[in-house]
Amino acid sequence: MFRKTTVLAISLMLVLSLLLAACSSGGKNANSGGNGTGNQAETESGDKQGGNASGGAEGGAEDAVKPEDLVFPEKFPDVPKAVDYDKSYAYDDMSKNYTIDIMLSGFINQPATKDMIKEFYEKTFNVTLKFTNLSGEDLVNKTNVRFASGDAPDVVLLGDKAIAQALFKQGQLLDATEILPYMPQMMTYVTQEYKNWSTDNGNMVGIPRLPVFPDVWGNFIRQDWLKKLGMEMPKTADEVFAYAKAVTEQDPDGNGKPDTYFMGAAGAGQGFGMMAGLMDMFGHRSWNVKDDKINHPMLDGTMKSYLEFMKKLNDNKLLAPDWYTIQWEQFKAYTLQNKIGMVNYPGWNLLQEQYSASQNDVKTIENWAPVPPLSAVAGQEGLMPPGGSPGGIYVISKKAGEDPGKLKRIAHFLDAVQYPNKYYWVGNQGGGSEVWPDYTKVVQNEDGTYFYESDMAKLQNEMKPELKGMMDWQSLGYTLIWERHRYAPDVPYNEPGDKYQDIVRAYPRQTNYDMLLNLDGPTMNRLKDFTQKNEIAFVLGKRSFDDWDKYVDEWKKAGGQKLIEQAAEQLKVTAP
Amino acid sequence: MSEARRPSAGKTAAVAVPGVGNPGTAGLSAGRKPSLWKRIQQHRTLYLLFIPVLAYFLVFKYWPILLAWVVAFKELQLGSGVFQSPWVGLQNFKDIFLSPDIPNVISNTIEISVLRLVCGFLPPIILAIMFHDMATRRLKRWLQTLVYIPHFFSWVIVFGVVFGFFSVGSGFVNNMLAAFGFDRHEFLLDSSWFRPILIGSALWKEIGWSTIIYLAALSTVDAQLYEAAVIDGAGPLKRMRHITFPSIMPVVTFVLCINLGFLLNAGGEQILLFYNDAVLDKADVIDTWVYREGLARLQFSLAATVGLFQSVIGLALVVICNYFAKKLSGRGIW
Repeated sequence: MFRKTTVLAISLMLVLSLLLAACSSGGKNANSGGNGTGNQAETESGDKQGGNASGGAEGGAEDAVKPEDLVFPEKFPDVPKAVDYDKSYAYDDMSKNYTIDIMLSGFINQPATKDMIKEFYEKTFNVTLKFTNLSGEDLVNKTNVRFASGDAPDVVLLGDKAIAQALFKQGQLLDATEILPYMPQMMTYVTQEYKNWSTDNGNMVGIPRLPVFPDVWGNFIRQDWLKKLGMEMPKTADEVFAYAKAVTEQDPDGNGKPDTYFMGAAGAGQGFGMMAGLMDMFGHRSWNVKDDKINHPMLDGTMKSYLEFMKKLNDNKLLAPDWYTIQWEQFKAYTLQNKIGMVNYPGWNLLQEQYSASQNDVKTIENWAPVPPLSAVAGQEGLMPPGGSPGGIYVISKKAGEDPGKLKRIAHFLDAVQYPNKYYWVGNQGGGSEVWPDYTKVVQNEDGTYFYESDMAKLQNEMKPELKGMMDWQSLGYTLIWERHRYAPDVPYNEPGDKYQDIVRAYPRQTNYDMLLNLDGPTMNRLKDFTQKNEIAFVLGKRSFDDWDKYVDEWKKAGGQKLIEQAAEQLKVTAP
Repeated sequence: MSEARRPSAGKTAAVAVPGVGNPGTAGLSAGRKPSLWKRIQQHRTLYLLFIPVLAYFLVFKYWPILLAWVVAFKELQLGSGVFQSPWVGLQNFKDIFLSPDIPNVISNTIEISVLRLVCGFLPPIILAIMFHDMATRRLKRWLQTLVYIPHFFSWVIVFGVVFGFFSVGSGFVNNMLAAFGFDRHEFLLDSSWFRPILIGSALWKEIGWSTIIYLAALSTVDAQLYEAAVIDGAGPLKRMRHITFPSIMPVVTFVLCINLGFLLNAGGEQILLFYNDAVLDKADVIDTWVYREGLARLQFSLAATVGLFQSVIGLALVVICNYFAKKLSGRGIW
């Protein structure tokens, strides 16, 4: 009898615990999603049900610009100024605590055990932050799964507009014009062009993000090797090839070993990575208009010439070992160990990294210089790739928008961390002076720009491995468009680094037609898979260039023709 | 107490009857087989204990399967959920089978799975027999630990090891080739090398762990059989053929049937980490295709449809394999 009772009791407990586990898990999901259906209020520390909890917020809403009255500037301000903080966010009385769930792709992509930046934000904005930092591909997958499972995050910073379009079409996202009236700092740079880029079928699917590195990526070449090899700065594809051959075969580092190479893709087996920049020698790398007709590198021979050039480099064994499969960080080691003759990099970062890797040898700063735009044809002006593209897109979930008070807090928070607003510097480079008051500071230059300065040695010492994830807050709003560095002998790379970035930015560029286009996302994605596998097949010689016309036909059938027609229609030109 | 125990003993006997050949008893009990409800009442405590297990499987296993089946015939709208999304009939199946990638993806899947099955099936059995026959216990344990360890490595780590072996710059294999005067080879960009590397690394990772089930089966073999065989003059090979293999044959059949069920699951996680654009034609399998098309591009209905297709084929293969196993050896998994 006793045994039966015991068995019965244990069984019931097991059933109960199973049910409780299932229910509590579901409950968590429902709460974390903050779905704004009334349950939302229970998750917040405030005591009012949903809606606008605060009078201040309501007052602000009345004063706010209506979405249809938003005025998008024509261009970025020359030197942005911070908005009047207290006045701008009076709509948010801050009395109620909200949970804000943010996802983004960072530089480190691991959680920090003690995240001081998060703590600062939570205290300052009276919010509870859920911060998920993942690598780009994982971010897309995780975002999709969370939306699909009804556990949508509030804010996601996506790199790919197509995902935002897809989520918007599924009714998951808020139209960005509903939140922008509460974001005066954002509205200083969401230009008409940016607005057009993020608008799909009349809906603004997200808020364009400022790029971190604004058109400062360029080809950099080893000055010391050019000198040693007795060569001039290359101007044409042939001269680039000659340099590549000399670098690989003439031992420019003089160590007697065949261990120097021209370049590498460093794209981890997914595309040509930093070598994609070489395509600009042969023509426009994306959609463009030629003689009033829509054009694409697949149609005018640009892609073919580029792939033939890549094949020539590969056939002659001028590329670094594992040039296609190697990852960025592994390839960086080759570069900084003086094995590579040309890289595509932002100038300041290249000099700073080279200087650090050489144990602060100031001479290494002179190793690199930017290559002016190259052209396949001698005497013809080369052009840099199209510029001015945003650095991603913030999307706000529809659920977050169902609670007006929460939406205003999200607007307040996101706007306050934009350049050069009051809390922009908090999340920069692992923490501003609010987080590390002893050795970081922000100084305003005479022209109104700023520089951020930290004692790198101390910061690196304090920034233990378990805190590295804090660096990922930088992805939220960090931009180098207006930031200058401090020029002083102890940081000798700053001045030439800034100079190189200015030089690269000033080079003539191809027109950016992509900003005017909203092509079908799924077709573009499918074509990307198709082209990537075929392009490398041509370069490795697995597919013959005799097949080129057939390949172009296949490309058209795989979706290229559909995109040609869409692009022609959107740019109001004819299709070939 | 003794009275309370008696029916229990009876129950055990009754449960044991339909199991293995006791025709006399089976015939007797078949005639007086109690109704299901009576049997449930009779064994209610056991059934009560089973409820959590049943609940677990219903909630976390069968319900998702049912949902996935429904989604396969719908166009899943994120905002609407499974049941509010519109029915699309067989449209998802059409989309999949008309996709130009699919013939290559399915053929890759089957080829890689068959390769895994062929190359990965016998080695653990042989290794298990070698461990079983090993005389030095300490050495046996040490070797077992050594071959089990890779099982605990994630595929990311395994890919790191593979890259360390086969990369052009500093890979061990290429360094050896160079040392012997051969040219370095881009193994990781060569589609003809992709599958050998894939299968080889999977075998290295799992061979030790896969021996466990065979070692368990071998441990049940009566040692007296071997002693008797030795007395009768049977050598090691004969003992293996006439004692070891027949003894573990039920387990071998079971493992083979289960593995066949996964014929359309070619190990997507490993391939996702190992493949690159240069080898995609030989590497893209159903799982990786679903990952790209379904998960990354929000086409969950397509993913569910492919999942259903994999399950149906897998089930059919298990049933067929079980049928032939019973036919040929008289043993199956049911």
